[in-house]
Amino acid sequence: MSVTAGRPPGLAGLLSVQIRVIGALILRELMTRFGRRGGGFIWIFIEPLLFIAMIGTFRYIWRGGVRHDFHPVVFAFASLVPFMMFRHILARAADAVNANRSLLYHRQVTALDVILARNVLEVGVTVTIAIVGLALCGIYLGEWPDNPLLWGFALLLSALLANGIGLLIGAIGSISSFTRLMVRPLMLMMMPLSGAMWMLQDLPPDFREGVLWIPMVSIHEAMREAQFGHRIVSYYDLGYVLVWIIGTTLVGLAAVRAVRRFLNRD
Amino acid sequence: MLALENVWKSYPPHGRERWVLRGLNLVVERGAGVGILGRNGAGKSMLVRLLSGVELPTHGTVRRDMSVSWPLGGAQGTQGSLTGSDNVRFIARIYGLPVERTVSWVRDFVDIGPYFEMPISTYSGGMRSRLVLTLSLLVDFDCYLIDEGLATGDVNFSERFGREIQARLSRSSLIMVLHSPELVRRMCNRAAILDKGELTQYRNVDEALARYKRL
Repeated sequence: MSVTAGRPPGLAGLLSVQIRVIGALILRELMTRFGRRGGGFIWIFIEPLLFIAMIGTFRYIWRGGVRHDFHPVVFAFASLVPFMMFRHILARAADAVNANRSLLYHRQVTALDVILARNVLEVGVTVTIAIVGLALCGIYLGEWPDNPLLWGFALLLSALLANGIGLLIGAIGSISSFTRLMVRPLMLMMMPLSGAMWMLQDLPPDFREGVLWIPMVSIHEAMREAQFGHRIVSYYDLGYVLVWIIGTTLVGLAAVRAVRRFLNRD
Repeated sequence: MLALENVWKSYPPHGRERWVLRGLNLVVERGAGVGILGRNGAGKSMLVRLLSGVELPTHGTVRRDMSVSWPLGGAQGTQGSLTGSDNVRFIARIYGLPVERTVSWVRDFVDIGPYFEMPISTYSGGMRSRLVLTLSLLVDFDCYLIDEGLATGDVNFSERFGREIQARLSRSSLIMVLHSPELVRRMCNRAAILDKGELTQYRNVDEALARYKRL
């Protein structure tokens, strides 16, 4: 019952090892996130419900002086999905290396693998919630997305941006317990800035250009246009988001590589 | 061959620097059995981690042209919150072994009854090292790195494991960190002492043991 630990041949072999490792890590994360019987799966739906109730109430009370003809719950849902994915990826990435430290003893398991595995799993969780939520909004409130393709694309951009920043946070979190501690409260404080709770059309025109510097605002605006179409006016710049994605991914990869030397594995 | 060339390592890696390893040189050929002796805190585990490649030296080079195991001992390489069987599945997946066949083979070999389906954070030290040592048998490495793992485990298991590993030693190398003189004599054909950051090698195991006693 043994295999010979050979050297993987060339780039293709190396790539297949990394894919195998990330797959094994995702299964390992599933085990601790949801438990063997999957009972923990219920919990991933509780948190979004609480957030939807929060944003929905906020929208209901404060509409920026304008009446919109859409349901506040649908607004909350479309706004929440990218932000929730963002929050989960960053929070889980910060602790990824720490929680898997002893698995790094296997030479083919790297810090990059454990962070990527967590990011992929969180994207999967969010997409599951998104599909369930979309169906519920459609069936019970009659609100189907106006542009499903843009819906998916905005979600993809959100995943890639979160992945890039997640790599950076994961690298810093692997050597700094302060970062691991701060990332969750910081993400909550980011919520009002992310554009998840308000629309640019309700802001004074002078403000709009300013807040568009925040990449998450563009993603949320695109998401709402995908959901509501021309019932609202959206302002976004997805090219700018793409620049952020490339920038954060490169910096994140460099950071993960740079901390290798400092990972004490005890 | 596995070789250290003028390897330096500072620890802790950030904060105030302290050189734990100061210019180590070591060559381990195929089939060699090397015992590493040293007091607690001398940097033996650090040395093993550098040899395995999970940690990088601050200065110097580690040359590795054979496959080397992960450092075997304690709970290293396993995940405490997962059950024994889930840990086996993880190892099987990352090394590309048939998953369920591997699980049943390990279950029989490690022989810890219902604990096999419990999180390994609930294991005793002995049970944990039984599992880790059994896992190491799944892969045919050219070189096994054992970090104080052999002393635990009852007689029955130790003999079973000893037979398996001895069968591999004809073609594999072994580098062991250990304290027990009998084990050094039985498993190693040479030994080295790590003290004050420097590694002194001895051709003769008994000479090394005598020197180690006087430390």
